Amino acid sequence: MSNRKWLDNAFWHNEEKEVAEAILVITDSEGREITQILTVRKFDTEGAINPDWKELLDQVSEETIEENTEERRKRKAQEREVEEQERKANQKARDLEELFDAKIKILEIDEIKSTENKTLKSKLRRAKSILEMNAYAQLIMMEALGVEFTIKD
Amino acid sequence: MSNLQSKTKGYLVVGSTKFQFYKFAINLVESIKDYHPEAKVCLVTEERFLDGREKIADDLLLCGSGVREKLWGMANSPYDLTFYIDADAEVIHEDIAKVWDELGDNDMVFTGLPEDRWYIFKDTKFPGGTFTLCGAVCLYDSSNQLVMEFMQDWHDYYVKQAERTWWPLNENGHFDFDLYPDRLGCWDQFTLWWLTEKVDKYKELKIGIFEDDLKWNYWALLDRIKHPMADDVVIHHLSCQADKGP
Repeated sequence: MSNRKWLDNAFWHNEEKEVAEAILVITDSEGREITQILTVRKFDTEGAINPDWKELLDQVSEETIEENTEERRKRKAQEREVEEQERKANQKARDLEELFDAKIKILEIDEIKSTENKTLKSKLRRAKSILEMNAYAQLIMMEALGVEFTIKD
Repeated sequence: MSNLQSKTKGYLVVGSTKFQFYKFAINLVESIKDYHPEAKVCLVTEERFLDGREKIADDLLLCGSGVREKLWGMANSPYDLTFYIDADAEVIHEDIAKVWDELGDNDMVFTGLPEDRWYIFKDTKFPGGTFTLCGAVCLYDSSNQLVMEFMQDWHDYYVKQAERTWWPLNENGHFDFDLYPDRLGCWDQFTLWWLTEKVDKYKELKIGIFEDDLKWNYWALLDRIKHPMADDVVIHHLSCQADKGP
């Protein structure tokens, strides 16, 4: 004689609440347990109530499934938020590494390497992005090539 | 405090072995001067790398091309108080000028290696101990004879350690690779640990950790969620990701 137990962590799979995700533990006559993760539909292909569905709702109340679904929704949203923060943080770290690498390379250009314009070189080094850095590099190059402009420090 | 004020103070930056490190070092020196224009900076580098940019430094020490000229440079600082910074870092805040206040009554100050940062380091724990100090930056009283002997020993022991002509011995008089695995031999961090933890001569040195140590060495590799980069971070350490080519 086997025993069927639905774990109480089931949750709704769709908004219509006609599909649930649930774990069924079957214990056979020799005491061996088989655990199955099931997607349980309310109706079978002929439109009749699925006996698994009935058994699930008998063992795990609709209210519990509702609470589990809400708790899971919040947890997943929180996980997504943390993942997004981590993604942004990692991207920022990578951007700074790339900026540093680009800066070391741009400082090797002869006109930039030898510029006497400390103000522009300092602004280039303090640049927060590759675009900003390139803009200052361009100004240093213009100055070296004799294009006149004034800087308001 | 008056004693501290009368001492000469300067930064020490080492760019040796590869031209790329010279370029990093020049960038670091210029970044120090961006935020602390009156700063005195000593550049330690090899003669073969000089290309005119070294003139940004106030003092120049020509070193060899050995494995840890950093340590030789630290042992030969021309200043009374020295702040050493790894070349692959950048100064990004004007608080750099306040670093001297961090020495307090210590002889040397490092950044720490707490467990929650171990994930960015290759080796922190081994059967014979745990690294607690990070040698990426170091503020030290270079007018103190014992400190300078320490720096010289840090260099000399490291060179022998790298050649495996020195290593801690076990009770049978053999190199103790059980407590101190062979893989640690490439780290000057191990030499630092050995000298600070095991050598009686240096027990009397007062060694501290910066109070807000991430401010003084914020690793680019740090997880910014666990260790947010504060607005007042002074030194941004790029190390592992940046191109360290020839």
